[in-house]
Amino acid sequence: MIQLLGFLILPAIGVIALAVKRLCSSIMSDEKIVFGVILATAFLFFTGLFLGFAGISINLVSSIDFAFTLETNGLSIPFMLLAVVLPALGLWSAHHEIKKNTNLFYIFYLLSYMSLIMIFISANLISFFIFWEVVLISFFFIIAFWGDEKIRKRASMKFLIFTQFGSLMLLGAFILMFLYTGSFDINVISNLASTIPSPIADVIFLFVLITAIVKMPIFPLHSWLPDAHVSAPTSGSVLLAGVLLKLGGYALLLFGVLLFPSITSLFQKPLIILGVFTAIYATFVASTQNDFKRLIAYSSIFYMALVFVGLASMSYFGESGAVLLMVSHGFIVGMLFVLAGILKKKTGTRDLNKLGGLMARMPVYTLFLTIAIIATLGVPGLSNFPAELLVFLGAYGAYTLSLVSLVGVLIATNYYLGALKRILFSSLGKTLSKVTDISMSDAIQLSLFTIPIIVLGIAPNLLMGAFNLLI
Amino acid sequence: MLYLLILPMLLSLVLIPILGERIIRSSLIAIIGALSSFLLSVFYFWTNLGNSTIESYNWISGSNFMLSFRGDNLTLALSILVSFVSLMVLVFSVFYMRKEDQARYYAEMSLFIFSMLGLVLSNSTLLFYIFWEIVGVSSYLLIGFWYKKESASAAGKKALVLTRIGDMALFAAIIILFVNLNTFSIPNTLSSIGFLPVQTLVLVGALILIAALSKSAQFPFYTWLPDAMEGPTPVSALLHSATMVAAGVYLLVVMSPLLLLSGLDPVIVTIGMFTAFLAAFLALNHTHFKRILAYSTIESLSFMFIAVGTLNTGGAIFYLVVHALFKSMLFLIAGVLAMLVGLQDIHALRLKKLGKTWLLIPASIGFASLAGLPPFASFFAHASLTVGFNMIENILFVFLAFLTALFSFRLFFIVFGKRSSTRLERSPVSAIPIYLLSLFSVVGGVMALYFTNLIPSFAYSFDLFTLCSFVAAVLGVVTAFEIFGKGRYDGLLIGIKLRLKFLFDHPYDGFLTQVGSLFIRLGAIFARFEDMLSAFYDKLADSALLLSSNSRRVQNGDTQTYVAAILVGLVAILIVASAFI
Repeated sequence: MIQLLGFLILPAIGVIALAVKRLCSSIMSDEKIVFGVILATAFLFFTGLFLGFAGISINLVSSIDFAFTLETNGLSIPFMLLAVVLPALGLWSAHHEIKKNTNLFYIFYLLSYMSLIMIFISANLISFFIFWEVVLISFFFIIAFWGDEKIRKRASMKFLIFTQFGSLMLLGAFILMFLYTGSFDINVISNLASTIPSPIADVIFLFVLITAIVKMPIFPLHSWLPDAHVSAPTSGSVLLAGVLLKLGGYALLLFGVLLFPSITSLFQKPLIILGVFTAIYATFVASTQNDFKRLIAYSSIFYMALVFVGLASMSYFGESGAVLLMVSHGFIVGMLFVLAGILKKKTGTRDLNKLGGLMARMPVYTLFLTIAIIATLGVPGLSNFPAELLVFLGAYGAYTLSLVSLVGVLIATNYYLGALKRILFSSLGKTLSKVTDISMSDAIQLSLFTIPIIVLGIAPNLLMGAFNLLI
Repeated sequence: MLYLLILPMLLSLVLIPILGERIIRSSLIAIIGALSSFLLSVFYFWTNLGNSTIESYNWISGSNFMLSFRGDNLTLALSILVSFVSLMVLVFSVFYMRKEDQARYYAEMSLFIFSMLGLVLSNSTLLFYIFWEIVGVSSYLLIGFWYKKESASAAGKKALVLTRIGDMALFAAIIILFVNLNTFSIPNTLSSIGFLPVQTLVLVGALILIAALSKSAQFPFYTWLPDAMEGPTPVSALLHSATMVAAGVYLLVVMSPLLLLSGLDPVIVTIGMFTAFLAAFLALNHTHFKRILAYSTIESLSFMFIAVGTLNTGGAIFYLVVHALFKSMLFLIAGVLAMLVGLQDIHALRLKKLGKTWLLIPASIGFASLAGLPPFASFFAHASLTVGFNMIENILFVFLAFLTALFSFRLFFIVFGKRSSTRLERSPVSAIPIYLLSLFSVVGGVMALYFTNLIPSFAYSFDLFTLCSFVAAVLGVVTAFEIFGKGRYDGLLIGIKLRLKFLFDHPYDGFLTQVGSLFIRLGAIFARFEDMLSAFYDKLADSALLLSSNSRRVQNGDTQTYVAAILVGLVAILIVASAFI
C-alpha cells in the first residue's frame, strides 16, 4: 500500500529544498530538484496503482471533524493521473521559457503541483479548500510574474478576481454543508445530503454550480481563460488547461451532481442548454481567432462545455464520459499548448497569418501537430472519441437537443484544419526559411503526450475500469 | 479470426515509419501487407462460402459496446475487391510516386486500406463509424499529400469538412439508435427498428442518408470530389473512385431495411437521378482528364444510389464491384498520362497524338465500360442495376445512358483520336495493374452468373429498356465520334454546351462559399460580443488594480499621516456614535 501522505510530503520536500537553496547555493540545480521530486511522485502513483493507496486522517480539532483527511474516492484515479503526469510533461517546456527568478517559479510550480494532487484525494472539506486556494494563489503568481509582458497584469488580475469569486462561492457552499450536516467529512456529507432542507440544498447547489461555471469555464464567466492562457508561459498553460480547469468539473460532479441528484434533474434541461450554447459560442469565437494559443484556449472552452453537458445528463454514460473527456482533453490540450509554445520559440510568432508552409522545414513537428489536431477533433483511435461518444450517449438520453453541439464539432473541424493549413501547408512564409525542426528532447516530450492519447483511444477500458462513480 | 484480414495493413502502418527506406522500401512493406490481406480474404471467402461468422469484442466494460466483425459472402467479397484494387494501386504507385516522399505516402495509404477493409467487415454500427471516420481522415491526408500546393491543401480541407457533416450525421444516428435500442450490432438494430416511433425512424434515416450523400459525393455535397483530384492520381484511383466514395453506398445497402421502413427510398432515387444528370452534364463540359473522371464517378455512384432507392441492393453492390475495377483502371491511365506526358487538359493531350500507344486498348475497354456497352462487365452491371426501375426511372436512365456514352467517348476520341507513332514508356509496375484491371473489366460479366448464388437479393434482367439503353449508348458513341472524333469539336461543342458548368459548378461553389461566409459573419457577431464581454471584465480588473495601487499609497509608513488618519477616524467615530446616543 502506498501512503497518500507521500503525495504531500514529496513535493513539500521539494519546495523546502528550493526555498533553502535560495539562501545558500547548493550543488543541485533547481530543475533537477523539481524533476526529481515529480518523478518520485509519479513513481509513487504508478506503484500505488498496483499496490493500492492507504488513506490517513489527522484530526485538528477534537470536538468536530475539522480534520486533514486523505482518501481515494471513486473519481480519484483518473484525476490523479492528470495531476501527477501532466505537470511533469509541462515542466519540460519551462526550461527554455523561464529565464528570470527560476527558483521562485519552480517553488510556485511545485506548490500548485502538490495542491492539485491533494485536492483530488482530500476527503475533508477543510483540506480540500486549503489546497484549492493554494493552487489559485500560486497560479496567480505564475501568470503575474512570468506571463507575457504586455497583458500579464490585467490577465492575472482577471484570473484572481474570477477564481476567487468562484472560491468564495465554494466556501459558502462548504459552510452551509457543515451547518446542516455537522461534518466536514465528504463521506458523511454525502450520506446526509438528502437530509438538507430544500431551500438550503438549492443554495448549496447554486453555489457549487457557479464555482464550476467559473472554473471550467462556462459562458458567461469564461472571459478570464483566454487571457490567462495567452499570458501564461507554456508550462503554466499546460497546468491550467490540463488540470486546473478540471477542478471545476470535479467539484461539480462531487458536490453538485452526485450530492444533489434531485436538484440537478430539476435544472437538467437549462443546464444542458447552457452547456450546448457555450459549446457553440466558443467554437464560433474560436474560428475568428488568429493567435494559435487563443484559438486553443477557446476550443478548450468548447470541450469543457461538453464535459458540462455530460455531467448535467446525470447518466452513467454521460458522467463517466465527462470524466474520460476531462482526462483525454487534459493530455490533448496540453500537447497543443506545448506545440504552440514550440511554434512561438521557433518562428517568433503564433499569428496564423504570418505562418505557412512549415511542413517543409519541420516534418517531425508536423507529425505531432497533425496527431494532436486529429485527436482533438474526436477521430476514433484517439482518446477524445470514446469520451465524446459516452458524453453524447448520455446527453442524448437526457435531452434530445444536446446533439446540437455536434455542430460545434463541425465548426471545430473547420477552424482546426484551417489552422493546420495556415501553419504547415502551402508555400513557406518569407521569414521562415531558416526555421529548424524540433529537437530530440521536444520530440520525446511530445511522444509522451501522444502515448496516453493513443492508449486511451484504443483501450478506454483501462481508465474506465480504474474509476467507479459514487452512484 | 477476421481481424487477421485488417491486421497486415496495420502492421504496414507501424512498420513503415520504423523500417521504411532504411532497411526495406516502404512500398514493399505496403504491397506485402495488401497482398496478405488479399490472399487471406480469398482464403476466408472460399472456406467460408455460404456461411456467416460474427466475432465480437467488448470495448468498454459495463455496457454492451460491442465491436464486431462479420464474415459472410458480401463482406468477404468486398474485402477481396478492396484488397485487390489496393494491391493494384500500390503496385502502380511504385511507378507514379517514385520521386515522392515514400514513407509518408505508403504509411497514409496503409492507414486508408486498413480502415477501408475494417469498414466493409464491420458488423456493428460503432465499429463501422470508427473506420468510416479514419477513412475520411486518411483521405484528407492523402488529398493534401502535395502540401506545398495551395490548391491541394485547400482541397483536402474541403473534403474533410464536407464529409464530416456526414460523419456527424452518422454519429448522431448511431447514438439515437443505441439510446433507443441499446445495441450497436447491425443485425440486432435492423431486427428491432420496427419498435421505433415513426419520427425517430425518419430522423435516423435522414441522418444516415446525409452521411451517405456526403461520403459518396452526391448533391448537395458533391463539390469536394472534383477538387480532391488535386491529390496524387493513385489516391484518386483507390479512394475517390473505387473504395472510399463507395462507402456511402455500402452504408445505405447495409441499412436498407431501415431506409425502407422510414420511407426515404423515393428521396434517394430523386437525389440520385438529379446528381446523375448534373454530373453527366458537368462531365461533358470539363476539359481536365481527371475531373471528367471524377464527375463520371459521381454519376456512377448516383446509379448505385438509384438502385438502392429502388430496393435493388444486389444490383448496387454488383455495380459497385464492376465500377471499382474499370474506374480505378481509367484513373491509372490518367496517371500514366500525367506522369509521362505531363498534361491533364484533354485538348493539350490530343496534340500529343496518343492514338497508337499501349494505353489505347485499356482505355477503350475502360470508356466502353463506362458507357455500359456489351460485352464488358459493366453491361451486365447495368442490366442488374435497372431491375427495380419503374417506367419513369427507366426512361430517364436511357437518357443517362446516352449522356454517359457521349461524355466518356468525347474524352476518348479527343485524347486518343489522333494517331501517330508516339510511344509511351511501358514499365511492368505501370502496365500490369492496368492490364489486370482491364482484364477483369472484360470478363467480370461472368461474375454476374456467380453473384446470384452469392448475394440472395441479386438479379439481372434483359428487357426492352436494356435494349433502349444499349441503343442510346451506341448513339452516344456515334455522336461523340461525329463531333469530337473528327476534330470538329470546337464549333459544334458550343451547340451542345448547356452551360451548366456556369450554372452549377461555379455558382454552386459560390453558394457554398456564401454559406461558409454566413457562418463567418455569425462567428464575427459572437466574437464582437465576446470582445464586449471581455472589455467589461477588463474594466473590472483594471479598477481592481487601480483600487489596490491607490490604497497602497495610504499605507506608506509615514507616521504623521498615520497619526492624522487615526485622529480623523476617531473624531468620525465619535460623531457617528454621538448621533446614535
